[in-house]
Amino acid sequence: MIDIHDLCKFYTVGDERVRALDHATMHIYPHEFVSIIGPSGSGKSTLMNIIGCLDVADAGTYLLDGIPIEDYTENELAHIRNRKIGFVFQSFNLIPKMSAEENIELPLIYRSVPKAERQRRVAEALERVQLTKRAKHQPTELSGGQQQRVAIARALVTKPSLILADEPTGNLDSKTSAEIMDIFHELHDQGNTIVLITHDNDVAKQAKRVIHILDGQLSEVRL
Amino acid sequence: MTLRMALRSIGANKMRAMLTMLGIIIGVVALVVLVSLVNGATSSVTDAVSSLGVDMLTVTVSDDKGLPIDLETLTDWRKTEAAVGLTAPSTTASVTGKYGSDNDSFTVYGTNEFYDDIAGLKLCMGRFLNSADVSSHTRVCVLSYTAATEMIGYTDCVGEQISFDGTKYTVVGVLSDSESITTSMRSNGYTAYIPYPSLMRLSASVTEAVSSFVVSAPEGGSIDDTKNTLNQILLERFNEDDDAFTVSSMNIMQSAMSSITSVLSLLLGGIAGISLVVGGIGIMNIMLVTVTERTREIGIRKAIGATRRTILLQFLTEAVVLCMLGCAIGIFISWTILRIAAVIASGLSMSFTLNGTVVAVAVGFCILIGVVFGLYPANKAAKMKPIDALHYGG
Repeated sequence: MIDIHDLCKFYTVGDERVRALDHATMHIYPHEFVSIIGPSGSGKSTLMNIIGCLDVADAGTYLLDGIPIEDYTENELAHIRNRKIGFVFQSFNLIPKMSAEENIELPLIYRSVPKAERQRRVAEALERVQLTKRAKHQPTELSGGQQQRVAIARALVTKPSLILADEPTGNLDSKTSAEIMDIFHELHDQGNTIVLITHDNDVAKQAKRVIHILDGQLSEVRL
Repeated sequence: MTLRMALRSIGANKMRAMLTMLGIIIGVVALVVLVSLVNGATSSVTDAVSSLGVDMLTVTVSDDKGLPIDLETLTDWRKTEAAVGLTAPSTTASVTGKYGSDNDSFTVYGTNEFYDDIAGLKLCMGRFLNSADVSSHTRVCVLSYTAATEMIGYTDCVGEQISFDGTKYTVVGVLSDSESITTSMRSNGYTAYIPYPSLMRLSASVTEAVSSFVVSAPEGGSIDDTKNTLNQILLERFNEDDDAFTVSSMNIMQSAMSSITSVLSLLLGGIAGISLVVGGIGIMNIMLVTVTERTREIGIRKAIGATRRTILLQFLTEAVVLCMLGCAIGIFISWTILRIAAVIASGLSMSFTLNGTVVAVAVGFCILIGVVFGLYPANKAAKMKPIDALHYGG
């Protein structure tokens, strides 16, 4: 599913060259629920950007579903993000002034799905996160937990190969966090591949497999 | 879909959108109103010119080569030449007119019964000269409106006697006020029309040989055909010497006028065009602000699969829609202004209507401005890297 080998990424801060990823290697198999844990500055955001095809590595290889990502143009990467990856962000990242429904519909529009099918799939995704009643609400009219559920629905609606969650509970209180994690568990049970990035041990250990990242280097741990 | 999104994001910031559009609105109003006003004024003046003898050719003979053109020749051409309509001599002489104790200089036209038709003269009182007046060279005259009102004192002066250089003439008709501009341009003083043979007696310089005459096109015929035919006849008659005569038409004046007005509308349109460009810069400015403000939104859209093209189209559509809304409002305001102008100017017999061409030009120009000035901000949005955009401002 995900096959990362000797991945390197450098940043230049001032005169100094920082290694955000240092020969990182890992494998994630279909239907897995993996969490990647590390303190801030450990390179987990960089890793998440590369896994999510938002950025490309400077060295090494990344195969997503057997496709080598580094060879792709920006346009092709946009298509891969649209079809294969569903993002869930810490700060929800819903588009303001658009209702929950429209936010969820957006990836399908970019994929040129016909209108009737779009409506059917949006309704399905809303049902799955139990927000059917809030379909017409704008993000500002929803609570944090509800907003994150909308974001999850937006990630789900394209039926992606991979759900990539970056600190999905970072901005939520413990009760709503638990609710969100429940949704992830359900999704995993239904056969979705989930990669969850966090700095929170309690969240991380809910996954079947935990990968630790420190100074750009990955190591497998089992808690 | 893109259109709906564009309308929506414009609607989200109504005040800003309105102020941005103001530049375009003012530009469009300036363009449409100014050009329409110039066109309205032009067409009313052109109408006036054509109603007053544009279909008239004036022939001046400077050297008759022993083959003078007399009244009979003119009659012959009128009857035999298919391309020639009416013909009338138009020789003038300056005389002193006397009525009661008033003396004043007159320009007297020696002509025939067709002159009023050819030159588009309208009568206000009595009749014009008739064929009997010409054949029996009676001493009758038709006065211009100013001659009648200022010399005699009133327009209803048919039957009054006025003397030209001591010979008494009976007034048989008075022209109406809107004198042909051809005659008003030629003479500063008063004008009178008398039969050509009568002018021969009045002035020593006027002989059987008509040195100047006017010709009209036949009904339904073109004045250019008449002009060509006349040129041929005269060239043949005067041994192919084109210096012996001149044939001039009012078309020259008309074309001179239309070139003046087209320069004028181009100039005014150009100035209005500049204000449209300024409006376009306003659009670009606000689009750049919008792109910066919505950096995060762009990042989200890219993360969930929007391509460069999608983002480019989204912002470009927004700029073009903004321009088109401004354009539509501008055209509506122009229409209102022109309606008001038409009411105010109705007394001046000018008609101001929304000129279709200029509206089309305005719409085209607005689309162009939207695209040109929207392209840079839209491209800036499209080029953003998804990670940079996502992490913008936290």
